[in-house]
Amino acid sequence: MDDERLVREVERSADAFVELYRRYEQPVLGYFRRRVDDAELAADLTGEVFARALEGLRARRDIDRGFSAWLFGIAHNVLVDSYRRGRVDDEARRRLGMEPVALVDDALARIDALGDETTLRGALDALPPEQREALWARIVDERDYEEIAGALVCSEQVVRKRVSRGLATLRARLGGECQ
Amino acid sequence: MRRPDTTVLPELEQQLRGAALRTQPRRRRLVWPLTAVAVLLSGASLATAGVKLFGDPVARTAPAGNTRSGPGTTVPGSVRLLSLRTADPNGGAPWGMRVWNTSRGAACWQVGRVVGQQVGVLDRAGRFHALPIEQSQCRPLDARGTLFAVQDQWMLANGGAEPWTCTPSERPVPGRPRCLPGNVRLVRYGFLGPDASAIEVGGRRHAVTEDAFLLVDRADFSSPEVPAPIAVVYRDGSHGPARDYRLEDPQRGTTPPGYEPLADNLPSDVSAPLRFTAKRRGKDLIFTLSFRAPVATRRFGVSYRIVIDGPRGGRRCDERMRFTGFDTPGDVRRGQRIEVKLTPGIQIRYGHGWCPGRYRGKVILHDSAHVVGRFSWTQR
Repeated sequence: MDDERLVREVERSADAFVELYRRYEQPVLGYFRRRVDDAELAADLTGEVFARALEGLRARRDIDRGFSAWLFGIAHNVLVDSYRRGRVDDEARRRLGMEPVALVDDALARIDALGDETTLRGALDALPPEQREALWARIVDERDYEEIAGALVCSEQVVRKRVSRGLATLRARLGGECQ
Repeated sequence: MRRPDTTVLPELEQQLRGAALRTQPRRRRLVWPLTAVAVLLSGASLATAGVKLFGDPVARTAPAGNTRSGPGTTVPGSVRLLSLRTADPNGGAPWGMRVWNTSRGAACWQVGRVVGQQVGVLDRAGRFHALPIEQSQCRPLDARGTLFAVQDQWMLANGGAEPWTCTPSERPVPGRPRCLPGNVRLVRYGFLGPDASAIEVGGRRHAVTEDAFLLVDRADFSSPEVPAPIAVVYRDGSHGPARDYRLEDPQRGTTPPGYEPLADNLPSDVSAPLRFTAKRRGKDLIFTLSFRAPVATRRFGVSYRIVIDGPRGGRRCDERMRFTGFDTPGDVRRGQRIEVKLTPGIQIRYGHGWCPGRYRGKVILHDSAHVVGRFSWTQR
């Protein structure tokens, strides 16, 4: 079932929201882990993102750019809010009556692994901006081509070409460093 | 998108499932008196507001309030649309705020575009959608029943309270849609109490209306500078910073002029015997702390909580540890037994167990001036 159908199902079924969580938990954890230097913090931020997403879906907010783009928009918002306030916002979780989540070493190690892209980041930074943007969205944030095309306001074909060129450049660059 | 076989945070998944079930909409839709509003508003006022049509009211995002926990439920008849109006840089319906009281001694508010007596948002077609009253932004009232709060909030130009569904053109984020240029607003507002007469920001003075202010400007992401600080001018001529006073915060001495601390209504002696026992589970010690509430609490922001100062914390036991939490979330009866379990895994959130050293804890009511009891232990 695609995301859009699940989004429509959320109104009738809690399972549909859980399925969306399962699909996007790791991309969102990875998104945060790459931006904050702490796996626990990444988990905390992720909890708030999905709580806000649930509230947003309950409010039938317009998700005209696709669920993924909308969800990562919330993620960015939560991150910015948290930097600004100096603490992780937990208001949505409080409103929903959610408790803090227990974290064990295994989970922290998995979150750390999701964010481990130091080498990739360096190589990506050296790419032309349009290739970097497309590649980041496709490979790191695991977005669909269609969504990326919508976000970058260009055709899917153009996105595929940028990703393909970017990968070729990366391959050459990273391969070169290994020789 | 391919779904992984297992989630990293199964407990979060479980909690989200519970929240999704609790907030499952009932079949009955919220019916708003839209026709009445439309009749009340004259065509001229609609034209002035730049509003083309009315759309469906926005559905509720937060569950209905609970009379015994959180901010409580809306006090009937208390909803008040402030007369304060601020123009949007692009024109159209002005920005405004409404405020209401709740059953547990709090006040909640909403900010958005105002048409007639409604606060709402505009969609892309320029239609106005009224927001429902819901307890999403609330603060405890002070002991005199006054609301104090100051907020800087990024919002969409249409009045939407959930910004960042798009990324500002000036600060693009790969893979996310860009907002129309200038579509994000920095909305700065506050409720300053009866002693405030004006605010000053960036060298300009703005009058305070009904003890509140509301500034709306285009968000400037091209500048790395933080927004200019806001100073409050009080009736006695003194100045002070406009800060967001979290009144449930136990820190004393940082409250604004005119604020009457809630804690002043609490008895000075709230001590009660604590029961503190330890039990070994595997390699970890699990502590159970219990006590009978010496004082009943029925207000939002007045709760029992636990503070623990540890020798070291963090993942590698190399950070200073201070834990504050276990706030009682709702009403507590006098004599009610309150019990909490202190586990290194849950509260300190690391799987390695307690770090070695001496831990000192206390149970407080509202703030550190009201100590119910103290406890401590040493971890070897």
